[in-house]
Amino acid sequence: MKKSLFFLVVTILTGCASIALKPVDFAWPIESVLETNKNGNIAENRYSFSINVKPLFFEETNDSLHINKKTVRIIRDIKGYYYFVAPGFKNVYIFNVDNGEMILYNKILVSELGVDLPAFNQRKPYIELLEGEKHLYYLTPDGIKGKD
Amino acid sequence: MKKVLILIFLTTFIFGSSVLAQSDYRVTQEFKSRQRSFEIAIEYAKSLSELEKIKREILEFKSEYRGSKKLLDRALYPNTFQSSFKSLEKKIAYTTKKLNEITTLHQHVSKLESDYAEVTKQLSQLTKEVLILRKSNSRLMTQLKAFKNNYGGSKQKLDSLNNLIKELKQGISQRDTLIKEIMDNIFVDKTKRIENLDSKELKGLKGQIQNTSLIENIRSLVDDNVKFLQTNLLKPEDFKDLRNEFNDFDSRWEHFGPKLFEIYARDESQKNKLTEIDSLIKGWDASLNTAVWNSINELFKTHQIDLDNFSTGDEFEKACISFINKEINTNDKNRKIAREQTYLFFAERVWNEQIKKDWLPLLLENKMITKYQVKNIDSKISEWKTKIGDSKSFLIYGIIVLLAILIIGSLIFLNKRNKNKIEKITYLDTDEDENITEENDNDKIDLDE
Repeated sequence: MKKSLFFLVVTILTGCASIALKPVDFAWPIESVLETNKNGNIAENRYSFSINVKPLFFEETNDSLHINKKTVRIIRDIKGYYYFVAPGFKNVYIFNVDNGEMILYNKILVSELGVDLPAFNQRKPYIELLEGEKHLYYLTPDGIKGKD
Repeated sequence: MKKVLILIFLTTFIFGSSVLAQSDYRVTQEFKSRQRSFEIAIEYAKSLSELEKIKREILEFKSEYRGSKKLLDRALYPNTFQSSFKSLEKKIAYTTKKLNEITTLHQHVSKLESDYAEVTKQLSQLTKEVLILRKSNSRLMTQLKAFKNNYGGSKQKLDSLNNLIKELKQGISQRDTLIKEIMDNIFVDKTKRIENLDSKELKGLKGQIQNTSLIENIRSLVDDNVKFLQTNLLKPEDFKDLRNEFNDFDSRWEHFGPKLFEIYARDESQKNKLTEIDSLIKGWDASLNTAVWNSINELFKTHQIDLDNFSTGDEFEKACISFINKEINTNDKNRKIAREQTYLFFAERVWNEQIKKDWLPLLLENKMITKYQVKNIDSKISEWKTKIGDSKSFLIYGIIVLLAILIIGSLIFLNKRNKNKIEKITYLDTDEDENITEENDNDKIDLDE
């Protein structure tokens, strides 16, 4: 009886265990530079996704009305986190995908005055943030490299 | 010292790295932008040398971005660094081919332009020559008409007339050849349909037709040929040449006439001229046959034989038979010799010696008369001969006998005259001999004394 019970528990536990596929590289080779429409939507044809960024602008600027034709720069790191920035932003926003939504994972302050010409570079395992041609930081989903 | 150097190195590295940092996105965009610029430059390249220059620039561009190959291979997806340059190479190859074709076409166009200029020059020259020949032919035609009205039967005058006809025939033929050359030159591309010509080409064609007075020249060509035929002084060999001339021109007109009609489809005045020429050409064909019959009639007239008018083989046969019947049925004994003379002129001088010998091949060849009709005339002439045969033979025998008597008489007379002369000479010789003997004897006596 004890033996039978043991096997039943082992079988149930084995059946419920998730399968993990490794290693995974979600990294985009280069950032995508996208422009919002009047509704605040952006679309990336290469990776076939579209998203509404109105809440992002509202979070950064407290303005969700003047949203048309804003440039948004997005890059995905090796772990699959999405990094968002736009000209004038003080922060870089890091999102994770969860159940059909992008959920803010982290918000990193990169400039008190805001970055005028931000750009991302894929530098595995980091994401490099530039201001024009000037290197600013290497970023991870958890913050700035060296400042953790 | 070492510490200082390390500090400088680190500062430079950190500073340098911060200065040299470049956005991958920007690198990719710049690469794409320059690639696109090259594509446009290739597309708009106007010469092979320009294309060579672009090729060199592309090589520089390639080596410049070779360091970013790894990035570009991923960023340019689905393209790669190499495939981007392959695409440029393909475009260069295509444009090179296109430029080569353009160069060939350009050469072709240049040749056509120079050919056109040459043709225009030739046309101008030909037009001038045609004008000169037209004047000369017109003068010759006037001379011929004047000559025809006055000419008698002297050999010198006949020779002059023949020379005049020959000269005019040559002049007309030369002028016709020139006009045909003009037509050929104007419609150089004979395969091209008029409806497919654009307005510029059509305008150019009309200009050439106008500058060469082509329509007027064709009209005068046809007109002059008809007038020449109407002189009724032509020989069978002339008709052969004139028939060939007509056939040659007619076949050209069949080709060029519709083109000219098409060109002037909306020009009523020119269209009327062309319609006139068309009917003149039909008239020219008919004139050829009429002129042959007129020339034959002229032969009879020169021997004081008046036949009824004829302009076909049937009419000619009827006219001959009717004339012979009239002659056979005339029993005027006072005109016996005249009737025999008429027979001689009709049957021998005209029918046998001239018509059958010179004209019949032409008439038969052009189906203007049938062998059956010739046979009918021949048998009618035989009947005529039989009818006047006896009297004619009497006359001939009489003439022969008279001639024989005359010859014999002459011979006898000459013989007698010669005999008398010989006798006279013999008598004179004897007298002289006697005188000489006497003189010799006297001389002898004188010497003895």
